[in-house]
Amino acid sequence: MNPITVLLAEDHMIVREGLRALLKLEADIEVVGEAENGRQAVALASKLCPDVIVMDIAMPLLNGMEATRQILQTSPSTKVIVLSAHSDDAYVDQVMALGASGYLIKQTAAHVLPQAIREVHQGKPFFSPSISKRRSDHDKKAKARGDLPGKTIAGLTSREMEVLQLVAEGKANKESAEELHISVKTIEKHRQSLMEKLNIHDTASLTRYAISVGVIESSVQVTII
Amino acid sequence: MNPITVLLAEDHMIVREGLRALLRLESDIEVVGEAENGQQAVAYARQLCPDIIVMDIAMPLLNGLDATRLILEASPSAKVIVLSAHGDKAYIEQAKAIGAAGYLLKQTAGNALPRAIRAVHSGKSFVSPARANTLQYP
Repeated sequence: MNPITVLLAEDHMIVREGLRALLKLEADIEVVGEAENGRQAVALASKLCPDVIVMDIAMPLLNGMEATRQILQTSPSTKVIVLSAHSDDAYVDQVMALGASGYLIKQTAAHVLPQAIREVHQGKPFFSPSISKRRSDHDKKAKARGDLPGKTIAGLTSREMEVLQLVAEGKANKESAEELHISVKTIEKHRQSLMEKLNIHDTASLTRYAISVGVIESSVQVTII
Repeated sequence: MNPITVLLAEDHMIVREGLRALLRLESDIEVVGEAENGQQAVAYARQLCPDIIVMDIAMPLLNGLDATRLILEASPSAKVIVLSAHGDKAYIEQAKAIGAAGYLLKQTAGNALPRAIRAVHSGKSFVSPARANTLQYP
């Protein structure tokens, strides 16, 4: 039987290589590529067509959520397992609404990773044990509400989400234009449009908003003493 | 020769086990304990007296920098390598100021970890390259 092909998307190289070392022990799983940000993940997903993508959420340039959305838009059969430090329902909901197949919190034991890869490969959803207990109820409610998969926050387009992250990361319009291969003018247009949709009109507030909805993580994790 | 004994302090189990898997490939290094928060790290450091402590910064209950400070207060010869996602000078300076022997960025390649452990064990200080190596497209 062919091994299950896996793309690892995680910005911390030492963590990524650790995951790779763990998966090397599994004969039926083969890591075929590694990405260090969401944009690379999108590019490598279409190039390598892996069976499963293990996707960190907090990554520079393009976060794992937006990358997942873009990957599933072009190839809906790809299985994405999101790797996150957060286990709260709101976070899990947001990710599952994108159409991800699995959700693993980083606090989970490592032997769960190959198990998750095998499960989602067979078309089953997979959650970290601590989350799965809460899920079944929750999904029924979401279905009853008629939640649609693939929606973005506040009705922003995929492009606007990309621009929001780059603005929040402090990129100048010119840098964002280069990153996205579009003109500065178009960046300005998207920026304007997303500010109107969110009713936020300065960069600092936009950055705070991006942190609050998980588009980027606050880089200040410890107080400088 | 005895292997270099290491305590891993990192709250994300999947990351910690990944680091352990990387270190398993090194015959001269032995992971003797794992801590999932700063308080445990302080307790295990006292209990196990490891040669090296690899310490994540962002951890619950007690962060890695405060844990490092407490460990070095109790045993000044302990060698701590701080593991951090942040390459800013201010963070590195701060880790140095409290007496950490090494500073390793998570953006660094996995093979830097055993190198850092050996360097620090032989009494040198170690700061991982300020800029992480960028990945090549396959």
